[in-house]
Amino acid sequence: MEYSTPGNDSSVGCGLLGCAGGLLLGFFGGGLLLVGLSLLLALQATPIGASAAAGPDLRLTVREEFLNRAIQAAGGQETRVDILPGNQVRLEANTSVAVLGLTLPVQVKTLFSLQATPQAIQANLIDMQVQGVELTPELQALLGANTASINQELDGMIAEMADVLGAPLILTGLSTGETELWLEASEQR
Amino acid sequence: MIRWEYLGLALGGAIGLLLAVLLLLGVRPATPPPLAQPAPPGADVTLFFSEQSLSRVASTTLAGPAAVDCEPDGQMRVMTRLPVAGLRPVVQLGLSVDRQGTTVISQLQWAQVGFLRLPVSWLPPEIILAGALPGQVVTQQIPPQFTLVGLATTADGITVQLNWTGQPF
Repeated sequence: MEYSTPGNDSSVGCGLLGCAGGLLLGFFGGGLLLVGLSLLLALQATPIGASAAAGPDLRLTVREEFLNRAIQAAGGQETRVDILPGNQVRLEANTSVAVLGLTLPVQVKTLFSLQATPQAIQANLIDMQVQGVELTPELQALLGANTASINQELDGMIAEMADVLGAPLILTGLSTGETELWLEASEQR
Repeated sequence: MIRWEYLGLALGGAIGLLLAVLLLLGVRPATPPPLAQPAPPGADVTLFFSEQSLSRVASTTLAGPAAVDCEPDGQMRVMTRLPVAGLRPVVQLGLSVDRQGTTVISQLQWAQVGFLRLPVSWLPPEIILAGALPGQVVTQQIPPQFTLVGLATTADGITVQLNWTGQPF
């Protein structure tokens, strides 16, 4: 028969008690230490900004069908926009002119080239075809005014984009496809 | 002679510390499944915002430096300083971004403070609320004449697709 000595029992008990205490101390103390260390690292860190992207800050794609609906809603029922590849846009407007008391239907087809400058999109008249009447200086002046009005509309579009982004924009690119217009811009820094 | 209680304490301490390290570093919040973001066939207007622009907007909104890092499948990370226990450490927020109807919803999935990544259930309400901010900001950026019909995130930024409501400009 074996007898355990009181001294041995007490040693094992003390060891187990120490182990339990150590477990608790190691777990919570170590956990706190890790959390503290992590928090310290986070306090010293700085938010790293997104690396300068190669692409534009803002890219806008506008569909021809939407432009036509917007023109119709603005009262230009007889005007149609046709986006063409190669940064060109054709405008077809059916209007009428009064000649010697007669109202004659006139169809005006104008072809514009679009060009992006850093601050604005410029529409430049390339070609104009008028069917129904002779191209008088008055009509030419009217079309000139229309070009200015188009440029004004385009400026408005840029301003709207800048509003959306909340920063002044620099236009970096413009291109057109069969039915879409793409505009690229970067924030002015 | 080594006393048993000291030996036990040392052994227990080592095991406890190991357990704490394994628990804290082993916590890896589950990443939500990629969001299905079907793009409409032809939106009237499509706008792409780069990470840099989003970072600038986030910095303005949070009134402090912030960096936005977009990932595909509706995931986004925002790194900024946020109040935690009276301090302002740099916190990295892992967000999921999705469209619900005509609004952009961003939801916090995890937050990383230093090297510890914590699941959303461990975080204080002010950080959880901060996770909803990016969605609100993107929604506010949409002009009133347009309605949101599509949203997608890429590695470079966010693309939103808008349809015109018919309201005059």
